[in-house]
Amino acid sequence: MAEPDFEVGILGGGPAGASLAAYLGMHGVDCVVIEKEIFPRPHVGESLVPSSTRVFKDLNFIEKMEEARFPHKYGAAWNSLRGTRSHGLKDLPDANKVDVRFMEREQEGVDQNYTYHVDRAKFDLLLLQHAQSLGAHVCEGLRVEHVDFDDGPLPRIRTRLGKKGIDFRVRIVVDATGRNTLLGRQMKYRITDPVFDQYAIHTWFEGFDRGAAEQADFIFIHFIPMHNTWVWQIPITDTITSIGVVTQKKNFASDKKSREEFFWQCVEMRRDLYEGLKKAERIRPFKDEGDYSYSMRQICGDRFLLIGDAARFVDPIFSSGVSLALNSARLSHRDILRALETGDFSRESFSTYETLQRRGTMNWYKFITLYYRLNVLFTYYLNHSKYRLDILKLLQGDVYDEEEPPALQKMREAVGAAEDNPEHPWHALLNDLTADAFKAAR
Amino acid sequence: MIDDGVTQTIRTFIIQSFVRDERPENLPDDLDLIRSGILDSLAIIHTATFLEELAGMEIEVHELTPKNIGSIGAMAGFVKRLRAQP
Repeated sequence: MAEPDFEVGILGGGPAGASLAAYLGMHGVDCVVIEKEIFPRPHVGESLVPSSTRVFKDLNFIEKMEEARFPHKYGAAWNSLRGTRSHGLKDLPDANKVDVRFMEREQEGVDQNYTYHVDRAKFDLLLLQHAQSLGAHVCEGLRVEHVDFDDGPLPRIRTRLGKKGIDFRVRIVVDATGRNTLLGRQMKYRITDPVFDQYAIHTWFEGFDRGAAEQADFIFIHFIPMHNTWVWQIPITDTITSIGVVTQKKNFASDKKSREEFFWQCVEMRRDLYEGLKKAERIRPFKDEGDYSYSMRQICGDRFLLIGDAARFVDPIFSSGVSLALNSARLSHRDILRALETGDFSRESFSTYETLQRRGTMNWYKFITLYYRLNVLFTYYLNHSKYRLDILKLLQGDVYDEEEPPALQKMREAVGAAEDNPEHPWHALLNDLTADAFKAAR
Repeated sequence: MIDDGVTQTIRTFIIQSFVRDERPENLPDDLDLIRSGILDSLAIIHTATFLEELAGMEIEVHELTPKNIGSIGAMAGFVKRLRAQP
């Protein structure tokens, strides 16, 4: 058999691809990362969850995270608006606001009580450089066009630079192309989510006052009185804050100008946020994101795997994206090492990864679905002494241990109770966005 | 009207939590707290937690119906039924 140029070819150098390259580099595997952009480049997805820490520790990357002075994220807060109450009754003290601190629950393999918010341009560059320092080859500015699986026993990655084609022969191909989903598209595996069709528009502000110090570095999710629409507030530095509006596609105009107006209309519904932002300076153009929420019929095959967003994308309300990407690298690298050792490159040889990755993303997906379906339940169980830590476990990104974690079971039963009984006071609150979520394709 | 202790505790909770300026006589046992807007969706969360403490046991979401929590009288009956359980 012809010798490969590299053992493993990784398409895409974002967090999934770079961390996998770092894992493989640490184990002395000859791998190449092929990245279409030249880093640094901006990217959406700026807030992490604590399950990322385990990967940073594995890769000896914590020190670099600290040196880079990314804001520490100790927790998260959700603000929803109360409906107007009849005859001027007194408002509940902050019942519309819930928050958590990660330190409330010990997390296996994670010994710090915070995670990070990151400027993705800087973070992705650091992680990719880290992979390089561990021995990975990195080609930037090189666009992969296609992967040939039928041209001999080894897959051939076809790239193009200007008029010139460059090919790489590898034993295993890993698609880490994010929402480009290069292999998923090529193989026609992609299933658009039947329920979620969210879009986002976002930008950065300088000088926005994030309020009281003890929560200034939390992520804030602000709900606004528009169907399935919310606003993220993520600290990027001491003075820069990322603000994004996530909404359904139908609310999203086709022209750029109206989309920017839409951003301001949404923000204006939260008076406090709006006034704060008006005093701050917008320092980036608005950017929008589509292609929200899809899954893949298959995430592994003979001689290939899909990791990170290339394997599945779920609505970002719980900041799951980067951490899912990092953990997909953690989970997949073990199967890849074994395959290289045994010479068995069949789909079955990647089945441990496939099972865990599907379980993890499915648990996030169910959590998100239940959250949208009956928002009040999230508040209820997060405030409930018996279930708070079970919910926090999900929020920390510990989603790989159980087929259906207790918190999800509980929420699912509760949604069922409200669905089945029209007399139930929460029946009227059921949201139509998430019907059938538990039947949705995996 | 002479309250039993449970009813009185519930009435006090409702007034202090949701209608601080209301006089107890304006909240009869059978006043529909949900229709009247006193118990909105979030107030129900607080009430459920309170009733769990009072009853000394977990209350399931499917039990948070008007029959059990729709009025002060309903809540008192509900708590008593829960406490009577073996």
